[in-house]
Amino acid sequence: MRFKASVVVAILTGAIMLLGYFLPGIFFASVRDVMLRSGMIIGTVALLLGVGNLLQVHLRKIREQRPGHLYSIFMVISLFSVFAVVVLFGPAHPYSVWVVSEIQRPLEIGLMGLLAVVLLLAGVRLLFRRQALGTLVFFLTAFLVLLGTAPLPFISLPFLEGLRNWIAQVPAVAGARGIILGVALGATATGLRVLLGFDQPYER
Amino acid sequence: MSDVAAAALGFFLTVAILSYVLGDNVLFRIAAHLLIGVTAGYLAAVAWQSVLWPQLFGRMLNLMAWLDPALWIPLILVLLMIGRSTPRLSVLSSVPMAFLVGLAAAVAVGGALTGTLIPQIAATAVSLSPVRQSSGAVFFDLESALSNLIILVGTVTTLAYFHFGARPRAGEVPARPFWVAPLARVGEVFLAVAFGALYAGALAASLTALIDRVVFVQQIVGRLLP
Repeated sequence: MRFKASVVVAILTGAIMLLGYFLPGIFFASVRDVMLRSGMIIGTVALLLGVGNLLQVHLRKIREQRPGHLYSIFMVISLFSVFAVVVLFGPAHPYSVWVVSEIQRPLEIGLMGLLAVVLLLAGVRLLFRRQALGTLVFFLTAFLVLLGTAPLPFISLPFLEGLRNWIAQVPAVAGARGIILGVALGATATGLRVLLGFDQPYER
Repeated sequence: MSDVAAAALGFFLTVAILSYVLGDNVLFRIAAHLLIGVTAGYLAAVAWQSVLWPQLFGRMLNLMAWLDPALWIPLILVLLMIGRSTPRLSVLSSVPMAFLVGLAAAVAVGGALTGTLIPQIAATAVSLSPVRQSSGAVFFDLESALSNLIILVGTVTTLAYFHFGARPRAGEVPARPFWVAPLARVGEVFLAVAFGALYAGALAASLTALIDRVVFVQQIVGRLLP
């Protein structure tokens, strides 16, 4: 078997981190602290490399005047100007806060509002395309939860609120707990495969 | 003046985003590219200001800080990672990536065990007896017992739904083992209830956002019109 430095690094890093759970003490605590801080710094550099790559792609698009390059101009200008403002003045300065509250916030709330239309359309499409027991239960639950959440005009149905609470606290919790346990089991299995060297996603 | 400019900008961005209801168009694309640019620029700036400068580059100016492994270990890994952009040195970048993946895997395994698996199993494995004792008094609580039973059955059957261990046989469609199939059928109902509740919650939240934006546009138009 060929020796790979990266596999050794991954296994050692994971083993030291996991040992920290079972061997509490100053030595392991400080080693874990150094590793976590290093991981945070490398993760941040990876984020910056990603932003750099995004910039590179759009700059190339503008230079070669490919279709949609005018949109890329908006993207590049906004990226550079916001980066300059936040780096020069700091994230807490009123200029940086203005960028978030007057540009990012309306865009994000607008997208969230758009989600209502998309969700409704997707729901209607599901209702017509897939008529099964699961679909019926899905819509019945959504309808009852919405009825129990929204204030109804001219009518008061207190039992709906109780029913909504029961759905949210008993059967929905059971389904969600099954999903969460499934995800945790999957994460554990995948993590162990990486830590034992069976999977090597860091290799190019 | 700045209030008017901010309101005009907010109005334009809101209308541009909501115009997607009519189909993909120029305004929506401009707004989407602006959002990507603003978010990426803000993230990059905060990453520099809050992490890279105070924890790495700023500390490099202090000679005593070089004795701390928390400075030179990440520095070496960062240099190796930057080598990814050079074809000759790109092989070296697998080492910091392996460090990051090993770290994330260990955190994920530890987090999944201590933060999810053990607490969620403990929360599910509760008494199903309707008879309870509290400060010396014995009382009958059928409602809690039934709720606990439904949660237990729902959790187990939902997990059964995710059982994908069907063995393929020649000429046959892969099917779940005979004892898992009915459990998975019940689990499907619980999954539908969970997704239905999540859908209703997401719809209610996004409707609130939509109403907020529509009211904002209405106010701006109301101010402009005599």
